[in-house]
Amino acid sequence: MLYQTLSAPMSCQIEITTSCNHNCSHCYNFWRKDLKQTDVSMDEAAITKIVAKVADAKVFDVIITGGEPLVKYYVLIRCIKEARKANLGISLNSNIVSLTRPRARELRSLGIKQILTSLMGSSPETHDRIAQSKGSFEKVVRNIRMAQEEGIHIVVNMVVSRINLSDIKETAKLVSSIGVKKFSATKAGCPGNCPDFSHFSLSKSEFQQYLRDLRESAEKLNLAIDALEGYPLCGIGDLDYHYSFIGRRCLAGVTTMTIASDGEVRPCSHLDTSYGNLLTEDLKDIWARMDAWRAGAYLPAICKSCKLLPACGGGCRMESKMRNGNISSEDPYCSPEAVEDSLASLQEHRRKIPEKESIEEFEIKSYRFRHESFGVTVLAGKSRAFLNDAGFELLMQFEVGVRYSPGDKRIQWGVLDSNGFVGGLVQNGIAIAR
Amino acid sequence: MELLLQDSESHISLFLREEVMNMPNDGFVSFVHAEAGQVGVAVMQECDSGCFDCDYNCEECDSK
Repeated sequence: MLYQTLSAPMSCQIEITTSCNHNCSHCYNFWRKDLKQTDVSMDEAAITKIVAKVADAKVFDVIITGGEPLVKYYVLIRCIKEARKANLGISLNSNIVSLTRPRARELRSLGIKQILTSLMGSSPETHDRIAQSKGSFEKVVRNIRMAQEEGIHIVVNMVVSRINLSDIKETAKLVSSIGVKKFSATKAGCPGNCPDFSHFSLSKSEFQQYLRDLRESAEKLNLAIDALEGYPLCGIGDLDYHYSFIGRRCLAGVTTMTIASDGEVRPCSHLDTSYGNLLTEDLKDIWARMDAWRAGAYLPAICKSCKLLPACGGGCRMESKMRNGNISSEDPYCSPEAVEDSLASLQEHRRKIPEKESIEEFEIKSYRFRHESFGVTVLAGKSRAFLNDAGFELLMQFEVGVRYSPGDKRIQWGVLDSNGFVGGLVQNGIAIAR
Repeated sequence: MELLLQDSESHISLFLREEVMNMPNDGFVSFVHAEAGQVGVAVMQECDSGCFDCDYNCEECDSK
């Protein structure tokens, strides 16, 4: 096994509907064929059942998506309410075209604090052309502003293909000018229903241009940047310069999975292969069938023996499948000949990070946890840590928000070194040094 | 456990696997299994999980 086997995913994407009011030329929804719309949406009974099963399995968070969730607004609201009732963390992916002020207020009142949306360019010509929806650009920009006024933070993602590659810097400028602090740009992946994506797919040199333009925009505009997909580290180039792209990786079937509007479950949203139906089966039975993903079984041989594998994850298996016709082939953006250079730049980046001073006081953040076969998974916001039983017994002694020092006499430290354990908690984002 | 290095912006903590293998019980479990000589990453984000990657410091947010 490349990864530990969790008892269940940490997060699930729930596609409440297949319908969408966009028809993006790069859309990864495999069911969108020949530009024809399909409409399979969850009904109340299905939502209730699915959310209950997700909660029973002790999944931490759900990401509600589609299709476009806002085009089935009452289904969306039902899903949010059910998830809230089950104490699940909730997030929303939406093109926000049909977000109105009353809807924004209702979503905010139901606990939606952030929406991930898409902007495909800096002008209606580019955005509307890609979305194949006239007037979309104006609505998205207007609604980004409106959502922010209503207290919903918006993260913008630009899906980058050959069509809009030259527009990254201008789009970043626009995003920054309307008060968005985080700009993601993610290269378009070949959709599962597309026989020829060559007009859209970036070449390796275009991929480099995309990374450079995004990095330069971040520096110039003081924007946080990201890509929502894991790229092979050997294909990124200078990892010291492009450090923003180091953290993402494919964790399909490892920490996450996707539930479709008909209940079918896939390890990855881009994949068209179902591993079972959550309306008729238990989540844990379906999760167990995804063992091959946790084992790294779909990685090409060259990645399995690569020095960078644990930091990299081997790129995107769906990109490999769709572009090369073989899920176990190299990610098209891999550059195995550059592994040593990438490793050197990764270590260069590591050397520049200042060492933390010794921790004198710390506080534990509010966290959630779940028991696993190996111990416990702990989640504090987006930070996660995996503890053994001794570590968890120690963690349970701390009260959230109370200051402690390593070796604090109020705590039974047992066999564990207090400095090491506290350092690990801080480093993993479960505790904050004071 | 030796305090690992962390980049506050990218939240990347790097370690050499050999270091981890020689560590005493520090209370943590290594999530990624690796061979000696491979370079690991201690903090990971899923592909496509940008919606949880919040950089805002909302006072009411439990995650902060």
